Amino acid sequence: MTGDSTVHLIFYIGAIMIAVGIISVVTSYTGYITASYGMSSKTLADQLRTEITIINDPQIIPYVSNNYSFYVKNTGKTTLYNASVDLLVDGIYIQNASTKIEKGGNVWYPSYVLIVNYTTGTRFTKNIDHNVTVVAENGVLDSMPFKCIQDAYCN
Amino acid sequence: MINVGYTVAMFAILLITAAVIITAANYGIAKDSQIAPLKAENMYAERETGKAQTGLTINNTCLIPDSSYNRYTKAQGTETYSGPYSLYLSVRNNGSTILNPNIATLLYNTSYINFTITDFEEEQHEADEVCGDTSGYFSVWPPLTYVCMKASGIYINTPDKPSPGNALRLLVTAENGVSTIAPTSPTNFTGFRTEVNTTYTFRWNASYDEDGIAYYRLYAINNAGDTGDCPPETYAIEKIPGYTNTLIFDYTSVCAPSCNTDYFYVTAVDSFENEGVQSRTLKCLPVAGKECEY
Repeated sequence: MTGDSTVHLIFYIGAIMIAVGIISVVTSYTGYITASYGMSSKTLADQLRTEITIINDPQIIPYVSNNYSFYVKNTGKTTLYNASVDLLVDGIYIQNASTKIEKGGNVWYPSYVLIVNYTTGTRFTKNIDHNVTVVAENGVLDSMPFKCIQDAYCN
Repeated sequence: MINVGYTVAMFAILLITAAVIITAANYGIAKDSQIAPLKAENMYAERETGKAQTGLTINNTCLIPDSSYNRYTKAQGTETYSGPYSLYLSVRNNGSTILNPNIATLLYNTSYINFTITDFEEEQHEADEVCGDTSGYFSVWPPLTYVCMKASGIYINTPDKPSPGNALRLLVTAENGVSTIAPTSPTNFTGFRTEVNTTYTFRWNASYDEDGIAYYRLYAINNAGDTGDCPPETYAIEKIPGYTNTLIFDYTSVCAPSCNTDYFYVTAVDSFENEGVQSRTLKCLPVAGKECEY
């Protein structure tokens, strides 16, 4: 009968709409989770590819024009930027640290050396242990213990 | 009658089909998301393994004065430094990793030094102990081979300071961060000829190295005018044991076959066979009891 067909049609359309609604909710939720997982995986992959190494002679940190200079080599596979580098000396964040890429420019390519300058009017005390930490933009860091033994660079 | 069963069946089929499609799609995306960190983990493991398998040794060092300066010239007036020199160093890849020598880093006396990879055959010098067997290795540095690094515009202190902490030091770092440090240069190197035709006596302050000094090499040079070879044409390279509890070394060298004007310098070698940069060069005249010039 016509009445039965109409009812069938209504129920059918209703069933389709409910199914589409459920599918949409499930799709967006799982898509959100997958995207988050992908983003954290990419971050982890980026961190694993990144490595920096402080290459100074741990006995001799040069002190010229009130600057102690730390040489940091990009020993990973990731291109970094010198403006995003942080410096800590003996656990203290250094706000006025300046950086310069030895080969010039602002891009810290793999194998390039970055010079990080710690400006201070006070020289390190001779034969006392110190520690320097350099942190790259994605959180990868390197630390090096050092001791000032050169008369020209110490108190 | 409403065909409820038919509607429910259609609804169920739709849901199941959608669920299968969504699951398959997310499985693929998740799989892709796992690949990137897995690749990076492999790269990380490979890098750490490579570092563990890398080792460097600064096998030999040598200074050649630039054309306008003679290394045997006594320091003039208030000169603090002597030079400029070209510094040659032969570096050996002791590990099992292939390296690129052009992206290594060289520090000397705390300063970053630009260098080139050279071949002593090309430089038309004697392929001698320094850079002797490096022919062909310019862009690839296979395991157990040497490369020759050349740095220009190098100065060394002329008035030697007594403290080892003020002496000069070489540091070579490979592309993966593995590095090696040479001992400091011997300082306050002096000498005099005790007898005209027999002996000299030398003294120098001990070099410094974290791994200890294994021995010193005393180079005796028999050609005053030869500034073109590296090391200079010598008739003796004496090996003197290094002792950690003494600062001043007395060494008597018998000059032979010639006891004319002779030239000497000394280098330090650590327990890993890293050789540091030389001390100042002494010029010793054939006069008994006369102190050598520097």
